[in-house]
Amino acid sequence: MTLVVSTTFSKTSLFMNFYLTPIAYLDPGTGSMLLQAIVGGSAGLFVFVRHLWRSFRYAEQTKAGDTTQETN
Amino acid sequence: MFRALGYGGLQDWETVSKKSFLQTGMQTGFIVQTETVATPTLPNIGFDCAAVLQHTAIPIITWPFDWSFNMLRAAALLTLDLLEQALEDNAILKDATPYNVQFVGSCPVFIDTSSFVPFQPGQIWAGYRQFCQMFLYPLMLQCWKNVDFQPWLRGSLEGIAPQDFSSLLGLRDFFRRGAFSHVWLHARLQTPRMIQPKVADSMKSSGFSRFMIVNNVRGLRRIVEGLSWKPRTSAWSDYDNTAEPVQRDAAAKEKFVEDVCQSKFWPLKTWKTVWDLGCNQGRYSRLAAKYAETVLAIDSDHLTVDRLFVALNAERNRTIIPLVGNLADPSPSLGWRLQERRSLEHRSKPDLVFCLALIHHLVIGCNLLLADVIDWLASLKATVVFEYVDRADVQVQQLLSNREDVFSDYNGEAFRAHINRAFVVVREQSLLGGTRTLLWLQPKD
Repeated sequence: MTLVVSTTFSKTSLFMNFYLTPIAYLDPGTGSMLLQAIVGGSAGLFVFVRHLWRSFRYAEQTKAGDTTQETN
Repeated sequence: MFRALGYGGLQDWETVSKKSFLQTGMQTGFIVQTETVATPTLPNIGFDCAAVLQHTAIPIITWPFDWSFNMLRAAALLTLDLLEQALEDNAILKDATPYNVQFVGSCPVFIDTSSFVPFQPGQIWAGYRQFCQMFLYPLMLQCWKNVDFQPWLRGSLEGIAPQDFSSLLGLRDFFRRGAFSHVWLHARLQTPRMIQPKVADSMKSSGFSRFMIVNNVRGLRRIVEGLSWKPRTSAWSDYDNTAEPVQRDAAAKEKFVEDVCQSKFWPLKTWKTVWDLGCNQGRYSRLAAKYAETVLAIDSDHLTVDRLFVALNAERNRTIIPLVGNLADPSPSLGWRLQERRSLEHRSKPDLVFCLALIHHLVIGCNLLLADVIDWLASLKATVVFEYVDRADVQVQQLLSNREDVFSDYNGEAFRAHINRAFVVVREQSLLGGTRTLLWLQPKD
């Protein structure tokens, strides 16, 4: 149980850390798009979390791809 | 009023124009009557024009930075109502700006029919941020902070950015409805921190649906409905009810104004546009409305104008448009090449102007030259009903009591000379106190 909580916490921290990392050159309207899911009710929150998870995975994959390229 | 459509716009219009919400909106007058011109002369306007729509003409185009609080609120509620109806009918508003709404008298009308487009599954409401910037934050600013929103909308045609508005809020404000999500969180999310570029696609594939937009729209409606601005008093809000000259001269002035109004082939409504400058509670605007197609009731006191709008809106008055405006600080032409949002004088030409007991405020209160004010009035080429308030008047003395009297040009003799240079005096009448004179003026030439 402790392990599960700890893993969840570490994932969440990583998640938020990634989420709050400033990245330039993106459309500032994207934030408003995301917010629409949050204010769209409980189902919207689910969409928001799902989107965040996908973004997280996307970022991880991109990072992994970059590392492989650097190694090569 | 004509609207040119490109090929994409025409395709959208052909789909949306058949929908029942649009038909109902046009029948009830909440959406401007629109027809496709059968054989249009396509204008050369720099893009491939596929069709031309014709709208019923709106008497005078007004801008949100000249509206009062409840005018902006009425426009916001109309926008949200139409969006919800559109969503139920499988369409959506692609933007949400108050420039899409105009007032026929005190009744808001949605004029940008091409803003309605067919709804695509998974689509996000692209106008949400615009709605917040142009409607929600200005209304919250007025309601929560008692700060006039007009200079903010005049200062930026895109409205108030979430980051800016969030910075204005104090701790207490964050407990108000909508502050956390629509302001604070919105501002936080504006800072570009997301690594995934195609947010719209990702949201769609994550299951974003129309139902969520409807929820958001209903939530926004509840917030806007809950916003009210009701200060007890302002500098001019009770002037008409309490000031001695108003009480004393009201009957004589009404008779004089009515005589001028009736002079033009009454009972036909032959005055096209009347400007009532310094309208206060709209006593003379209401009189003029009996004889005019449109009356612009303009006053710099926001609360007075707002109360007038609320009263007119309750009557569904379709003649008088109240506006917040200061002649000494008028809204200029704005936007691209200063042609997008043009100044009032470019949008409206009055044929009758009321300038009643205003001149001393302009000359002594705002430091304008008497000759210049009269020249400006003459430049309007309209019949003018003018009330001259002499130096001996109690109100003028009050204005002068706390400032150096550098207004030597403000006297009866100079006034006569300037008036005779620019106008023909048709009739004049002294009022009871002996310090005020009404003049019916026709411009020379």
